[in-house]
Amino acid sequence: MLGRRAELMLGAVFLLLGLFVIVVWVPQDSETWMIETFRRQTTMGDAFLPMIAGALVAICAAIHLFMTLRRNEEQETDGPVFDGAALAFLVQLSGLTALCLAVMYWAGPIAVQLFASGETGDAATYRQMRGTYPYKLLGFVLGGFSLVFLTTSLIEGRFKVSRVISSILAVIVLIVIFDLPFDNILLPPNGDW
Amino acid sequence: MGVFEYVWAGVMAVFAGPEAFAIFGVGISITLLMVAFGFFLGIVIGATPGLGGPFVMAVSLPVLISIFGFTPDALLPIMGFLVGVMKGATVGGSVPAILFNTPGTPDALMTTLDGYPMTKKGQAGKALRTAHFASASGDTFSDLVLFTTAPFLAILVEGYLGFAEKAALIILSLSFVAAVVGASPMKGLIAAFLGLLIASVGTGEDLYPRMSMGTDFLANGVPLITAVLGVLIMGEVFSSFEQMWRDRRTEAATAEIPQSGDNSLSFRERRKLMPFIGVSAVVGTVIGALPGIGSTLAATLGYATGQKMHKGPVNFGEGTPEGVAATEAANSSVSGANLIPVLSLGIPGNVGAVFLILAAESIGGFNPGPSVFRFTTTEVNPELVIAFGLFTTMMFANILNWTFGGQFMRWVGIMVKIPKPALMPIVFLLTITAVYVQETSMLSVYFLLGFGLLGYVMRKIRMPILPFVISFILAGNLETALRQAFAVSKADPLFLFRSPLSVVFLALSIIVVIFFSRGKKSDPKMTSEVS
Amino acid sequence: MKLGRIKSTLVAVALASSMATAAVAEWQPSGPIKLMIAFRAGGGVDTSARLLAEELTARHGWEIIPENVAGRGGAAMAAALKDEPADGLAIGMTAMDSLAYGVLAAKNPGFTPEDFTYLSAITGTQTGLIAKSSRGWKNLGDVIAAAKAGEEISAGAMSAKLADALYLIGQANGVEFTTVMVQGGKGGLNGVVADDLDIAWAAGPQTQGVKAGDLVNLVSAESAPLNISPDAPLLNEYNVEFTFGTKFGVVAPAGLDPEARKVLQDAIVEVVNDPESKLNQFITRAFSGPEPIAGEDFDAFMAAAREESERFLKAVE
Repeated sequence: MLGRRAELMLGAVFLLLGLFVIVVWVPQDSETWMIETFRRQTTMGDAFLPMIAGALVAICAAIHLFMTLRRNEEQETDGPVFDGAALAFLVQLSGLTALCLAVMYWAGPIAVQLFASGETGDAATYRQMRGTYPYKLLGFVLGGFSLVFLTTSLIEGRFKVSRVISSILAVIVLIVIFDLPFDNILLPPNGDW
Repeated sequence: MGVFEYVWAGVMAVFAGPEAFAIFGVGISITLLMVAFGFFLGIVIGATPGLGGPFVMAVSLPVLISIFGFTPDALLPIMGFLVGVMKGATVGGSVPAILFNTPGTPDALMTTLDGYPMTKKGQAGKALRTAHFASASGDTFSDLVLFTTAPFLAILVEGYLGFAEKAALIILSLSFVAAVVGASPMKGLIAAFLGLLIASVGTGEDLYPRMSMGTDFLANGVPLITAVLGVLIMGEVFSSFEQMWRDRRTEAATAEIPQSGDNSLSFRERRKLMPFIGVSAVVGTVIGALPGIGSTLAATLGYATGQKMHKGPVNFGEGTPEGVAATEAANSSVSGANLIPVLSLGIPGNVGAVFLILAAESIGGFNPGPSVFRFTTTEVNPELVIAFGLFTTMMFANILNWTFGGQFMRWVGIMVKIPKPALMPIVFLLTITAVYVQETSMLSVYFLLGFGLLGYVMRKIRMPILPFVISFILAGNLETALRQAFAVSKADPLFLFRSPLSVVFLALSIIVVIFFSRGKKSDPKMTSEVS
Repeated sequence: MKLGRIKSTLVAVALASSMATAAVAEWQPSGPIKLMIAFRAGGGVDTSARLLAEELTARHGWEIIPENVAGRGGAAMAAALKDEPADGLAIGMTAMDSLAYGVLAAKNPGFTPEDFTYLSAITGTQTGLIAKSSRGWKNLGDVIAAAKAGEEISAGAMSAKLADALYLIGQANGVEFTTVMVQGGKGGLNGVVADDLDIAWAAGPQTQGVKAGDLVNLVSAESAPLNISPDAPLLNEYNVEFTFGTKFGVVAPAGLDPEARKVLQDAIVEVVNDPESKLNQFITRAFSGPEPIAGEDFDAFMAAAREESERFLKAVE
């Protein structure tokens, strides 16, 4: 169990979520209501399941709030849910992931723009080159390597040469598993172009 | 076709199915190869602390589907692989528990109690042999129970359940899982209803994709495998990242203990273990057949029962083979029995079964559930052949386990030495790649990361993951059953309460929740989560 | 957004270069082709699409990547394909009715029939209304008689159009069916076999059961008799002037270069027509067999389908 305050917050958040779903989200954002009559057939509309689910989330959250309020203060509890450290970690991890995915997505197209020219000399697009070495692997290799290496370094709090090697090996192994044997499998980001 | 023809057809589908390659003109079936591959991979991964069977299943599923395609021919190789992983990981999980006192999977926690003391006495080999013998026995036993009960249960269910009863039964399973997993039934229920809610986005029957807020991003709903991988695997990856980040620079090296004691396991010793194994196997099988209760509880109960039965010179907890046997037989006999609700009702009770259902749903041509066991005589029911094929792959994995499993598991102790901080980021990239390969869109990667964040937060606030995943998977079936029941009743507002059976199911689902809300203190052992 | 501009420039360059080369030699795809499939993986249409991809790769060396974009009766795929560049590197396989009835019946489908270039039809459905043989009904007339005698008849339909069809059949014959929406191609079949439904539409998966004598096709919803049940009456015998079968075909985004269109549709027709091709053998088994309709014929077919859908919608409203 979490601390009483944390459990109360949690109950409140889910209560609000449930209410938001049944008061705003589902009524505003579905074509048919809970029960529909159309050509003399009465059927369940698209709003039925989400309305019931949202209402039950709200009800369970309310019961949870009530039970927590009645709960004995002295019960053993775990530490705080989110502390500053967790937040700092999340921010670093998200920034790093976003950066590596951006590298993965754009490395190939930018390289094509800079270096590739078609047979007749006119510029090629990444869409045309995404099946050609080395462009097809560029994004995956650069983005994948940085993702593995940087997260390892973040976790360990230092840069190690051995991790550079293991990260490169990991990317190579993934390419060997996914790309070499199969013609109809696309590594990221090649399906998006 | 009669019953025996179906069984035979299933066996042949495995042994004489599509060939991988031929040795001296004898074709080796691709299904057998995949089962063996999965089994040995499962042992290796099970022995790696921090990884487990569900992880291999999750990551390999999208890849295997891309390789084998979406034809019914792909079902047996892929499901056989998953079955192999499931069994291998169960055996492998005991290795680090015995050798290094670090359980590879949560259910191996009890194995450390007697396994590691045995290692300290120089009897690691004996402990591993005991664990393997007990695990293989328990596993085989529960498979036999599965083969005999699932078809009968399914036929019974199919005969008596209409649309309304099916809907009520899904509701009962959801509330059971929600109430039983995790410390607080209310949080479990919130997780389950949240699963239904998120599964509603972008689905439905109208042409406008409901709850998509007019965006293309949500218009096609949430991709199933991506979401499940996100909450289960990515959530775990993020949590372990944070844990390692907090404990950084406190790496403790694991030291190997020289072995010199009696390391064989004689036939007489095996016979002496049999009562413990037998009792634990029954305990594990019964627990496994209930949706949502994991092998961890089975291991705990098996160990406790064994402790009561035991009258040897060495007490439980001081390094006795009976302790290892009681635990391992119990947690291994869960895996077969876990498939009883899947095959007879279409309801997955644990994470391993979740991936079997996902495989079947994605490939098509096999819908686990009561309709599988229709013994049609005039035409062939292909799903029934697949079901018996699945049983055959389980038996084949057991044979592998009995013959090579013991030797192989003694080799994989080395996996413990892989540093987790180097391993988990690779898992991170591997999961992203596996999802991309199937969905071929960065959008699915964003979904994966988003659901990973959700899984991370749910772990933080101690909200159980399994009810969320299971209700997410069953939401479509539940909605269809509700709609059909409502339509057939001609819009009767009490359509769920017209048959006695569905009233019983609904009443039970409320009773289960109340019972566990009152009686249960926070007992983390009940949870059946991924490690 | 700067990066977005780079992307659109790249696309523009691709278009320009592909048009420049088209005039010189026969069009060839300049990269891998994405084949979007408007159905869930594992079904009959999905299998057909994947076989088509396999055969095209074998015959022309094109790299083809099948991708399932299922959902909302084909609308999900259509909406996604519409936004792809019309460079021949993105095509989609769908039920053609999703671009006729589907567009007309939706309030806001997000695309129009003009958003697409129609390459070729491949095959068609074998839709019939089925029941268990043990019920003793021989054709739809027996069911109507039973309903008139007071029996409640529950009927499964897997699309809004087929539900409308049940309504129309009932109206034309003075009875009323209890319509139950079922999921996917086998939903109705399973409902009938498990005795949860009395009758249901099925578009092909009933073949095995009908052959074995467990099921019976009560009526054909196609414009011609069904291959396996040539004796099943047509709907016009029951005062219904519409048919409810559909074709499956391949489309590309609108504005596809005519050279590219010709190359692609010829390649597809060749595979469909070749009795040696896996696709041909599969659609002969699972659907109505090869029915290639390409080019202007296909445009005309789609125009006629839309016109009939319009009349149908008027009739049910």
